[in-house]
Amino acid sequence: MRTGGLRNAASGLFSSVVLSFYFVAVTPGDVPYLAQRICGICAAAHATAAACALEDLAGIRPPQNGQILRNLILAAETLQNHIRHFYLLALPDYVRGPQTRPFTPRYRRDYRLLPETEVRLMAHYFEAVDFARIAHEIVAALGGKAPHQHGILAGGASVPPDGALLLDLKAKLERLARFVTEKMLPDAETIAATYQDYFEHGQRPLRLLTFGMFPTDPQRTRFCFPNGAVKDNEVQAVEVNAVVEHLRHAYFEAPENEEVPGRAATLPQPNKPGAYSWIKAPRYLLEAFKGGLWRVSG
Amino acid sequence: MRPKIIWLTTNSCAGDILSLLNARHPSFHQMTTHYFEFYFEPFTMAAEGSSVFSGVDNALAGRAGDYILVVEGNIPTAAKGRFCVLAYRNGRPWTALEAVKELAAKARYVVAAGTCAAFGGPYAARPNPTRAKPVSTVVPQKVINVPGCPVHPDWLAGTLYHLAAHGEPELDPYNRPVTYFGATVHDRCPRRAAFEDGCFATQPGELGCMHRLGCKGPVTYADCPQRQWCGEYTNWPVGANTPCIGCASPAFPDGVSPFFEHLPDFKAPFSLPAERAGLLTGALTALGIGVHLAANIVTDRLGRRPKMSHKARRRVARAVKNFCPASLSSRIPEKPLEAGPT
Repeated sequence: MRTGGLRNAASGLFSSVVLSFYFVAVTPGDVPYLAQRICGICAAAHATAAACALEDLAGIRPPQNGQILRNLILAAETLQNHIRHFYLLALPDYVRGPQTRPFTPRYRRDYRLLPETEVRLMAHYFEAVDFARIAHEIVAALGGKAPHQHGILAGGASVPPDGALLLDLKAKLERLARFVTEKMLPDAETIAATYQDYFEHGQRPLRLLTFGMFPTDPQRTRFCFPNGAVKDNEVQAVEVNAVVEHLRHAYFEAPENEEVPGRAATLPQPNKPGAYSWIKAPRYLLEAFKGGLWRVSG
Repeated sequence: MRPKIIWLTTNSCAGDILSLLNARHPSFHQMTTHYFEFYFEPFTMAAEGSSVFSGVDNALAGRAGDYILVVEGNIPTAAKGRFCVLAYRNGRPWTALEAVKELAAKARYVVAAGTCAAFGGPYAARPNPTRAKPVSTVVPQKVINVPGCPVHPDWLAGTLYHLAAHGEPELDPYNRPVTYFGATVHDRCPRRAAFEDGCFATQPGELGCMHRLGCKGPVTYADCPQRQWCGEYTNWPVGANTPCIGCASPAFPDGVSPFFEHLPDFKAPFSLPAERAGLLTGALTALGIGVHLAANIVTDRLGRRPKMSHKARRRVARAVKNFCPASLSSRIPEKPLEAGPT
């Protein structure tokens, strides 16, 4: 990442996530459960990817209800993820909490919000801890526990909801929706308005990539969040085979040419000079794209 | 004075701290303000960069026994620990191996939170290229193991509270608190009656006993069936009509997988009335599980699995297909699917 042409900033993961080695030796049916263990906060996303891959391998598709239930689990977990990232991980950079740990020590400058705004946002921080749990309760209701739920399986989902459960989930979602619209979004807007100059930091060309999220049919042809790639201000169709692994700065032996995932070898080199991360960098059309959930509009 | 906690996140998924954030009473907020002082905890602390080390430095300069060290994740030992660098401290990589040894030296207690820290877990699964080890193998003192993948917030908070208020709780031979890990999931299972009656689920999503689907409840010590997960008694894996995968077991995941392959039992070589068959399988299964476990310990065979050939992969694809029978899945007869989601 080049910031203003002045200096480079690098962000890396210093701890190796070794599960990828492991899947070569494991029973495929176990992968949706094991893949989750890559990440505690986005576990169901890994389970979903694993279940979809197994279904592709076996040439099957889940029934419509199974698809809906899996979407619900993943969506609830994504809500939990967003709430925790925004409040627990990002907010303390802008808002000073109480004069105790874990809120001290902290940055010494550039807190710009008014004291009363800080107090209000901090109150929301503590509410967010509870609301993130409520989102995880939805995951647990449909998946047994959270993180690392059991409900997402190749072939469908495992909890047939009854009236009581549906009401329970609706009530929880209604509370979550109220929290997000009345508190979380206004808080994000408050910070964005106060730190407008931060939008200019670390800019890079607009390149976005998403594979589609929350399919509305079992064949996975239509999505609530459609797939697409944005480059040069144009929306293009996603070419799955254009994804390669870029290993120059990762602690892995780098082949001369970038390889596609699946064919690429994973040979760790913990003392590789010039490397700074254990994450393999994915490249789309040999360029860095920002992945994730976004809406293709227009 | 609230007991001081120093929490190190080593090779892991951070699922254990996230699970602790799901605590209900006390909530994580109450925990940090009323019951414990999270003196150093990477997930929630506001500090970044070099400022984080004041907590570590103060703890190391203070008197011994001033804090409880909680470790989440296992400790890679290959390449001098370079597979897990927690931070750059004074300009050089501070590995999990160094950090845990350094901080354990002055800790009042060392607690391993989650299966990775306690027993190795998924992050030490075969072939374990980082030679990751449980915390107890790299520090000299006794480590109190609170396993689970993730650890249940009650198990961890309860153990920490007990340590601070009453000292060491009663531990089993694996150094797990007996209160939470004293009986098997199978013994406490609300579907035990289905097991005794021989009502076995044949695929995930059915309401019967999960034994035939590979439930590891009979060999896993934990109180999930009663305690359940997330909020107030929301659910647990068997409640979600899926098998227990033994995530709190010292053998997880190598020794308890394949998750959907059931523990061996004996088949009656003669015909029995249906209501008697369940009883007999019940009794014999218990015996079979014992034999199976003993055999496992002797030969270590479940974890050792060869690399898959192309043929084996095809066979597995078929098995996955069979695992999702027609009633559950709509088959796609025409052309093979293209890779990817579109």
